[in-house]
Amino acid sequence: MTAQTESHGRFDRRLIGLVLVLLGGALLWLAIDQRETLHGLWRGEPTLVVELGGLYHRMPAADALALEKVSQEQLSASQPRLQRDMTQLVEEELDRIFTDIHAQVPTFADWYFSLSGEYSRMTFWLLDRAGMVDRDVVLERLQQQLFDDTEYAARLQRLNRAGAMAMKSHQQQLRGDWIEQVMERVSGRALAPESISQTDFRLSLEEVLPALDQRSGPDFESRLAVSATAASGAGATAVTMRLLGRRALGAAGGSLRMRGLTRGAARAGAAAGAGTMVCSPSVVGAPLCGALAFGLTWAVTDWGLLQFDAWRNRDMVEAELHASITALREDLEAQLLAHWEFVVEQQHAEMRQSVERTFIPARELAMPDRRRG
Amino acid sequence: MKRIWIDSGPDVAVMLVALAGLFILHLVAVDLSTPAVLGVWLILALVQARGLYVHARARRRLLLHAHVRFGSPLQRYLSGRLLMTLRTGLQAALLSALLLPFVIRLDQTAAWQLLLLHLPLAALARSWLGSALERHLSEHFLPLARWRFWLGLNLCLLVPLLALVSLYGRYPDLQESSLMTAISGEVALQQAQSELLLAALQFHAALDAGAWWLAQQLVPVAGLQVAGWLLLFGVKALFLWSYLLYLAGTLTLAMETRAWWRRNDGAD
Repeated sequence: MTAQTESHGRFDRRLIGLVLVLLGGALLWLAIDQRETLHGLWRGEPTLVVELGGLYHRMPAADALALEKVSQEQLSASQPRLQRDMTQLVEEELDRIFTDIHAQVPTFADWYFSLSGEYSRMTFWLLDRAGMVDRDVVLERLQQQLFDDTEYAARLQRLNRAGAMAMKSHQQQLRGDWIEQVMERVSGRALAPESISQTDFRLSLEEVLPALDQRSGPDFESRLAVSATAASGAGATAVTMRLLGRRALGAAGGSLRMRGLTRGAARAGAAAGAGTMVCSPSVVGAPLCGALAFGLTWAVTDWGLLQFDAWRNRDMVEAELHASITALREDLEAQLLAHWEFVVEQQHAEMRQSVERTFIPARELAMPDRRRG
Repeated sequence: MKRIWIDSGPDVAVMLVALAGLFILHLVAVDLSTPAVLGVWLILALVQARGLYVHARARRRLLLHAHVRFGSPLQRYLSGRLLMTLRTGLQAALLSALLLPFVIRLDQTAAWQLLLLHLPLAALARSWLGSALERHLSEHFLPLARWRFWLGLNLCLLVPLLALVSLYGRYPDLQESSLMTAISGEVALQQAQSELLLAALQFHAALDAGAWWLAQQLVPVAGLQVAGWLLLFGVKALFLWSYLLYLAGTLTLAMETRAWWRRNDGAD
């Protein structure tokens, strides 16, 4: 009987224990359910300490997220503006450069359809045939008159530098505006550095600023200039020569050379005839007379043929040169704009990423239940 | 069945206290100083070490019983007191060093609820395993088998369940970010009063961010995503192993305390 009572007593105790355990479990469930509230009670509402320019400002995570939005909006607005500025800069400068180049075309044509031009071509052609030189005098002249005289390569380099400077000033403007906007939003929330606890979430906006500084610094500028030069600057002259050689002189120059040879045959025939006719074989010094008559006739014939050739073909040659120069300008402009578009896009992408990275703690903190684990 | 329910009561109570301790730690740990963190780590390690040690001894006893003659001095030499203490201590120290940041970073209410709901099941499984294995196994092997089966069963149950809960969790969107951005962002989010704890939390955060990043990459190489998920599950399994060892250690300690209490009570 006593054993049975004892067994009953033990069972009752265990049952009470089980009820207590259930009660404890329910309490723990409640505590887990109110985890965020308990966190809040223990640690207070999570706030961020935003650090900028050596000053600290306390703000809720949601307000910090508004700063991120402002920053991203500013970057989004900045990119097309900078892109537009760069396009305008490139177009205006190329307009100036190529106006000068176009203006040189008649000078080149003057030389091309002159006796000196003709004889230079013939001399170099003969020397080339004899294997003594390997130069194309027409292309050299073209290079000198159209590009060297207009300081083409130097002006392209100046354009690159001006682009880098424009980006730099744009960055400075952007940074200034950004700081102004951020400061406007954090004003009145400043706090002393001593009051910052170790467990406060810190958001250093300084990390965004060096990114801007770095991009607008001299290193970036020179890097940019070098890459832009590689794309269009120093190599552009060679590109130009190839283009012009292929396009204009392939059509006009090739036919000109043919015409030159025809002219050579015509003037040789005319000069030989004139020498025979003017100087009688009985006259003393007939060889000298013959040579003079031959030379003069040659020159006059040549001049006449050149004038005729100029009258017939000069407009076409000039038009083809203008067309080639315009095509070159279009290629170059597309190349330069693509280059700057890439640089601006890359730069803004990096800045966007920098802003995004900086504000990750704010985004995470703003989530009511940061899921991990 | 009713008896199993009633018998499971003390086990549930002990594990409930253990889980409540971890939950309180989760709430307050970031404000603890380094000595306090070290103290907590030591307590966790001691609890785990006790469970590991008791069962390592049982395993060794079984081995000696089977292969070494009774009365041989080898019985004493191979009983493995010092080396076994050191080994289990080291193992427990490492595992509890993992458990601590895991518990602090377990920011998912559903995961905590799962751990709580798992307790009565774990206690029932323990009672059931005890009665089920009792009929088949010798009294020397029974405690060891019960310990092993219990750990394995719970691990197999908890890993998929916790992974399932995690699948429905909200994670930072890292698809557009680089790996370094993902890691540095998550690392920057960690805050703790203690430098030591902060370093541990940052390490775990980096590991988590790496796994999330891999799992979110929409690259054609599916291997990367699989690697991310495997890393995520692997890390979870490690945490759960450490957690279960902590529960098992608590149960062992409770059992020993009860036995000691009964002995003393009986002596009085």
